[in-house]
Amino acid sequence: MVKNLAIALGFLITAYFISSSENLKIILSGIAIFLIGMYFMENGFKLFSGGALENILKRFTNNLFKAITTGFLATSIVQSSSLITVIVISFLSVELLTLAQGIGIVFGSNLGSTTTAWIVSSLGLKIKISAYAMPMLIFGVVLRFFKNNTYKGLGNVLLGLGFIFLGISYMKDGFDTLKDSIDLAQFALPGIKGIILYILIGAVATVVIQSSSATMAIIITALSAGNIIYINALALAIGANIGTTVTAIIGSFASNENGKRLAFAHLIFNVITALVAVIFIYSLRDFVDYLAPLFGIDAENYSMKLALFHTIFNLLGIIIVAPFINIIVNLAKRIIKKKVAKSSKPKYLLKSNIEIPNSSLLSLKKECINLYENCQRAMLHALNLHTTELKTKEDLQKQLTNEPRKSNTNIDEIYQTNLKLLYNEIIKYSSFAQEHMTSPQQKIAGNFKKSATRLIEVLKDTRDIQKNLDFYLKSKNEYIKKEYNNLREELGSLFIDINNLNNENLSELDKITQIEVIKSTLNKNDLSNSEVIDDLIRTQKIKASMATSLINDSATVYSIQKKLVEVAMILFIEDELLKEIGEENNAPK
Amino acid sequence: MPLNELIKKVKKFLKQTEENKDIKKKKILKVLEELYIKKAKLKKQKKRTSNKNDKKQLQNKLEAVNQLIKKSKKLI
Repeated sequence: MVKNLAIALGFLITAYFISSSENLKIILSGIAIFLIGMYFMENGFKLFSGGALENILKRFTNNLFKAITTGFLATSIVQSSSLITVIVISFLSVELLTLAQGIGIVFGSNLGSTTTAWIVSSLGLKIKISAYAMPMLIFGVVLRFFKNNTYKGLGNVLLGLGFIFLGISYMKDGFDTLKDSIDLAQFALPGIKGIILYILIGAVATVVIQSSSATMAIIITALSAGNIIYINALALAIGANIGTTVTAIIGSFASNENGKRLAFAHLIFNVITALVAVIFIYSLRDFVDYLAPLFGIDAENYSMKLALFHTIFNLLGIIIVAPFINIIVNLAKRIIKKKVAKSSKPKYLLKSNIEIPNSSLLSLKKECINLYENCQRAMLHALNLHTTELKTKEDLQKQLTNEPRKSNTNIDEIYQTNLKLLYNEIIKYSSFAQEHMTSPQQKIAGNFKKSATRLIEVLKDTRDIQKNLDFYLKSKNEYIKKEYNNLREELGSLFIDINNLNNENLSELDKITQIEVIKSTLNKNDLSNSEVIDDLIRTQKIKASMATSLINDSATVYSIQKKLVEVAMILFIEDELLKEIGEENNAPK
Repeated sequence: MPLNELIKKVKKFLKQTEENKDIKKKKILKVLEELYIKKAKLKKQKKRTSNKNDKKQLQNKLEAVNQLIKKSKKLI
């Protein structure tokens, strides 16, 4: 209610300001068009690159220098540090990048975002860029009619550029005429008070607009029109750099601890950079004045000097902060700790990477492994085995020799309170993520969905045998007790074997071989089981009622094992061809 | 759709399928090569090992590799 009222009030105030001043209307329209342009550009690059951008960020970041350079180049081309940060957060959340690599990219991205200032000050103000905007918009719209994603993406990029140019042109016109009606320069504040005030204004404006590039465009156009003085514009640029960290912090709320750590590192970097820039603002201004002629910038061209200042102080920040990157990583890890969830909430299914196929597939895989681990825990408890002490087959033998206690594990309750939510989220997430995938990627996502379904089936199958298992493990008939203990051993042993597959050091070929060994053991166990049961019935060592229970439960355990092998194949074998080989002629001999 | 265009499309599709088959065949041959190397290694290891349990495990792995070789050959 309060929120709705605040929104309505906000709209009313904005409407009042727009209607009261024609110039303000033009400036605000310019900002709105600029922001729409950035949105189209971001979206266009996502479609146009078709995963290439993610591959570049993944491959060329193995050392800090490369990470910074990649971040710089990627942001300079895409013209959106938010897009790069979102991709980095999504990669961090699925542990595709280390935190240090992610921070490196974001540092580079910060420097890359300064190119916007160069574009606005060099192209935007000197030439009438609205003239270029119109053809871009026309071609952009035409390209959007194509079905092919590359053309559609290119269309969006052109539309984005067109809107950005148009937005800059509107802002420029607005500030030019505003200067004639009100002299904003009279509000210029010299000295430290002015610097602090304008830093605050720059930060708040960036938080509100959610884009430091847009703030920089406003600052440069206002400066070129003479609405603000040069030193205040420098302070506004510093403020924009601080304000942009809030965007990253808001973005990190939806991510896991690694995303939050990245936002923290971003904040540290920008605050330190801003502090250095504030302390040395006059020296930096003089340094810019010294460098400007070397870049062919006139002494009176304040907008280009501002762009140079923006680049220099960000570069200075990287030079100062980059050597301490490991300290920042450790500090971030110490302050933002990994949360251990009591209930099985999804850990990896982040909204931020749902549109990035490679990341969403990895998120799905990790989440399915998380579901597997949770199901395993519940199942082993139901089988009266303790997961924490079950790493090797020797541990299993030790636990099997202990007298079993009655298991209190209520699988239905665990499923309803914990795992159902996780399962639902996996199904929902994969359905949405599949919308943005190619057909081979959709097939992989479909397999992850299948593995989650199999895991829930396995859990319910375990519930079906739990009652008999509890009952016969307490039986005085040693034969039936032994048989049920064998079933526990088979399942426990299978879990240990499958867990061993979750090892990055193991080659794909080793893994598929291991799965083949498991399959062959499984077939042998099934055959021997039926023979053993027949023998026990014939020699009247067990009653008919016991025999029927054992036959049913053995069949269920065999079905559980087959499903678990299927899950292992999906989750732990990445090579699609090896999967196909493993599945070939899979029917029991 | 005119008939000659349809024929062109079918020809293109068949050519692509054939090319994909070739790529897959090459990949399978590479897997087979790796499997044979693994088989030879396992055989050597088995010969060297005196521990009965280890020998049994290696034999199981050897059988699994043989099974995978058979399956790969079926796919060619």
